[in-house]
Amino acid sequence: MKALLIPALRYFALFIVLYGILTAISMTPAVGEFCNRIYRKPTEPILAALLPKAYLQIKAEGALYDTLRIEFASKAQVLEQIAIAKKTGQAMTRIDGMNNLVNFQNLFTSFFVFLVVLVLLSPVSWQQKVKGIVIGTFIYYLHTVFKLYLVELIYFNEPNIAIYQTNPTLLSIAKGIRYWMTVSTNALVVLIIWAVVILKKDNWQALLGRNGKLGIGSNIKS
Amino acid sequence: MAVFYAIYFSTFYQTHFEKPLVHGQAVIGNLLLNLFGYDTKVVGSAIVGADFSVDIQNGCDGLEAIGILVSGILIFPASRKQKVTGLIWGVGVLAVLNLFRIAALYLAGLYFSKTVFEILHIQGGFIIFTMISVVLLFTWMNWVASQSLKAAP
Repeated sequence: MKALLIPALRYFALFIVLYGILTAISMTPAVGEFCNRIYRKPTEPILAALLPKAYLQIKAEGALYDTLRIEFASKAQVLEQIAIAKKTGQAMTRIDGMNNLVNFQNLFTSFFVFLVVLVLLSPVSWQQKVKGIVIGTFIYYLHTVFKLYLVELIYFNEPNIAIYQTNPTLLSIAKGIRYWMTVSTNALVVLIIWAVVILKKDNWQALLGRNGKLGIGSNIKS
Repeated sequence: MAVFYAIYFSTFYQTHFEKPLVHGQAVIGNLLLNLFGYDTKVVGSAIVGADFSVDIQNGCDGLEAIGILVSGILIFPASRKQKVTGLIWGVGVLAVLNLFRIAALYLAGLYFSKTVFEILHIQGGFIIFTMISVVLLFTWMNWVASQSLKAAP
């Protein structure tokens, strides 16, 4: 049993060290700002396209850039205010927007780092690791955008916001899926993505060790 | 895992099992803290001290990490005896580690800032604990593979 536990503990120790280092780096303001900016750039137009009844913009917030502020206003209300302003001869009109905050660290960064570490510690070639990180990050990114879409859609259906009046059945389904998409299920999603992009039949053999020899951790040096 | 979540998020589980489970974990976590000299008490699912309290919610109970381990063991090709051995050891280790995690999170909240607590809560609470589950699973798989080789003619 000792012969099985030592490589496992070594692998886990390596995971902790690498995960700790990458998490610390991700939490520096410069890296946090960069990740936040890169994330927001494609996400804002995607969400705007998925939720066309709202004017929507995403901004960074927090000293560590660990928060997303999603600002929005109803397009219908905006057009109504503009029409009223034109009718009454006003040159300007005030639009009352709203916003909600999303913890970017919990949504994306922590679990992106988790995925990267899992892939880096996998017994595959560096080419496969790079490919795994790129494809895995893209898939996880799509997962987070979908989550944001559901969050905003449900929010936009609130009676005091009323940008959307989604079919009740579809709204229930959206709420059900959103209910499942907790912070802890993000970890499960990362594990599934890792298994899909990295683990194949021959990789399983390497991870477990050929001919029953010790697996986890044993290929780290090679 | 789909079956696990269907049960975990069900009204039946949340009505009949969730409260007793988190209360029980709070009681044992509180005992651990008392053993280390901290004057805390249990109020429902929370461990309460003079300066800090931590409330154990769904997600902090360690069941999802246990679910990953159990799912992996059940689907992996192994004998029933090997699976039972893996389940007993794996679930036992994770259950005990979770209690230490709860106590450690209380101490983190007591001695560090809210930001640090939140970081440890997510990083340590979910990610590292999930990784422990994965490592346990692969260690068990390794053990099954080595047993199969020993048994081979």
